[in-house]
Amino acid sequence: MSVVRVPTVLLSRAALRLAGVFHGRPQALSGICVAGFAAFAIALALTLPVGTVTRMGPGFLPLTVGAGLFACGLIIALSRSSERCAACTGSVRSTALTLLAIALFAVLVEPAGALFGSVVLGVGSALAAGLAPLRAALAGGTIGVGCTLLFVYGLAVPLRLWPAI
Amino acid sequence: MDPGSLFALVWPALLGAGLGTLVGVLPGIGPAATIALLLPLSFAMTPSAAIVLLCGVYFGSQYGSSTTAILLNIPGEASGVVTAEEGHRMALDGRAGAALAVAALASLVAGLLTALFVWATTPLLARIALALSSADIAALVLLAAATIVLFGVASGARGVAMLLLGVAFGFVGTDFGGGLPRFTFGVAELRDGIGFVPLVVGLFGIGEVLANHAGRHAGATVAPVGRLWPARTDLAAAAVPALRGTLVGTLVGLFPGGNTLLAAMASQALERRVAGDRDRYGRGAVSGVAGPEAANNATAQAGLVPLVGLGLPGNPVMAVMLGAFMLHGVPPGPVLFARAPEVFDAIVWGMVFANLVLVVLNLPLIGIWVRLLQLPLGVLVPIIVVVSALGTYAQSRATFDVWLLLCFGVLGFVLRKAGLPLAPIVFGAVLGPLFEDHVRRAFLQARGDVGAVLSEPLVVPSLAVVVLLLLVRLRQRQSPPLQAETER
Repeated sequence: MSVVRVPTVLLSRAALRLAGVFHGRPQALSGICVAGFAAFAIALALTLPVGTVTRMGPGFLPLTVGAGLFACGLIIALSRSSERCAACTGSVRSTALTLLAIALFAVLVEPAGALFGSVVLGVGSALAAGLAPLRAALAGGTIGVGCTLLFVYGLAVPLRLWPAI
Repeated sequence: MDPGSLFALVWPALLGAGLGTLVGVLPGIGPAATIALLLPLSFAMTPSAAIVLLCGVYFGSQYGSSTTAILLNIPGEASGVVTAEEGHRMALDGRAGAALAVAALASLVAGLLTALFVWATTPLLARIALALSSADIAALVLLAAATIVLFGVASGARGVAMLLLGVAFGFVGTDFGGGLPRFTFGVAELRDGIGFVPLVVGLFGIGEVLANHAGRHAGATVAPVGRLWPARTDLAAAAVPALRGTLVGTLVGLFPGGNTLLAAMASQALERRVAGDRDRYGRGAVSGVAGPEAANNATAQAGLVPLVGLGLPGNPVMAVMLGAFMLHGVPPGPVLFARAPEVFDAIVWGMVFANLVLVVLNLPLIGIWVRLLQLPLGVLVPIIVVVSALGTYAQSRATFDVWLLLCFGVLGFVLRKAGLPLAPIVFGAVLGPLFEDHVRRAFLQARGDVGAVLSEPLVVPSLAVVVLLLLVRLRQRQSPPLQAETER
């Protein structure tokens, strides 16, 4: 085996073993994620003045909270609970479409105006909700226009309806 | 209050109650997210009208939830789970109308009595709160947080983790002590902290849509409503349980962590033992509807006592309400009574109006809600998504908040998938900065003297109760959890 291949094989085996550990144990993965986030928070907190208990700096409580969160992450990861969301039914397609629709809204709302942004959002989320394209265009478009007009004229929120020229 | 001011509260109460009933009836977006969504819209109103509108949403969601619980056996809100047990059996027995009427009337009795209680006790509590030092307030916040995570979620570690995650989100912004930017990553928009609206609406609104509703359709069978007015025997069987439920719900609502599901469960457990019709449990007992419904409404409203009197939210919806008070420039607690006493009067009158309106909305107009239950989720989902994104953008007119909404939506989705509770995050985000502010101020005022901080009257008792609760929870570790994630 070449010098490059040895670590690759070892890494693959480690990854497979890790996948085996997490398979059927979503709690372990979520616990690791929580602990990872906590480690990141601790690292950030350490860049700030920490101080002492009696003279706390801006980093003191973030550091304490990060340590607590890290401990909780480890407890969750090591717990035997297999609890997961039994009621969650959303599909990958609908999730991706909803997120894409919101992202498009964020990109379009200022240059293209609230009306166009909301219509795109409405149609995208109607497609995500499982409506056929024509029905999604009709229902989503109507909802987008209706909601924007409600905000602008019904509630007097100063939003720009049309594209910036 | 003068008649003009009173009249000005009627329409926000009506609007809030109507929207709340809608939220309670339809699965998807819960009262916490709805209240957060309405925040930008409420800026056009006076603080009094805005708070009445938002309270109406919460109370209305409790009423609306009983409708779906009784007719469909699917509660729109967590507390409806308990009502569904006996209420849906009554519906299957052809007595849906009677069950709906008992639920609405029991809620009305509880609502009016609790409004009286809130009016009588909150100013007293606010007067006591005036004497509290920063150390006392920090200890009370810690006690509230401990109660919520130890008894309010399915598992201690998961609840604590999510609370701390929320606290971590609360740290983002500018440190109040030295003005140093904290966790802002050089992003100017984060200097004022993470927006409350994108956080709550993302986690609860978009997260819920992503996890549950996209691509799904309703299609449940609605039980026929039948005759609405209950028989005299039903009313007699409901009267005392409704009063007991009011008492139980009021007590539960006063304590941190006490929420509507817990109150409904406690009331049902009590009625099973003492109600006159306890032998009918499992076959549609009227007391099994009246007690829990009165209890959940009483809890929803009694939660205003610690919130308005002390500025301490007892459940996630109250945490969102705290944010609403702040955004309208009327911080709850003694300051509210000093600066804007008319807001408190408006809240009490708003409670009365909302409860009266809700009986009308939920009895003579029940047909409207039943028809709404047939609304395909393909229409409901775009409405939730458009209102969430447009509402979030409208309150700040910053696309950055829409991106935050997206991020928190994804986070809400991932956490739901992992079975982690979301409600403690809101608590953490609201209570974390409050705790940090008071604990640092307490040590500053005591010049770093730990003994002086501990000598404040509520510090040692609060810490002792925290330790006691921790020990009790550890002893109960093998017993089933008190509740799942409740208030959305």
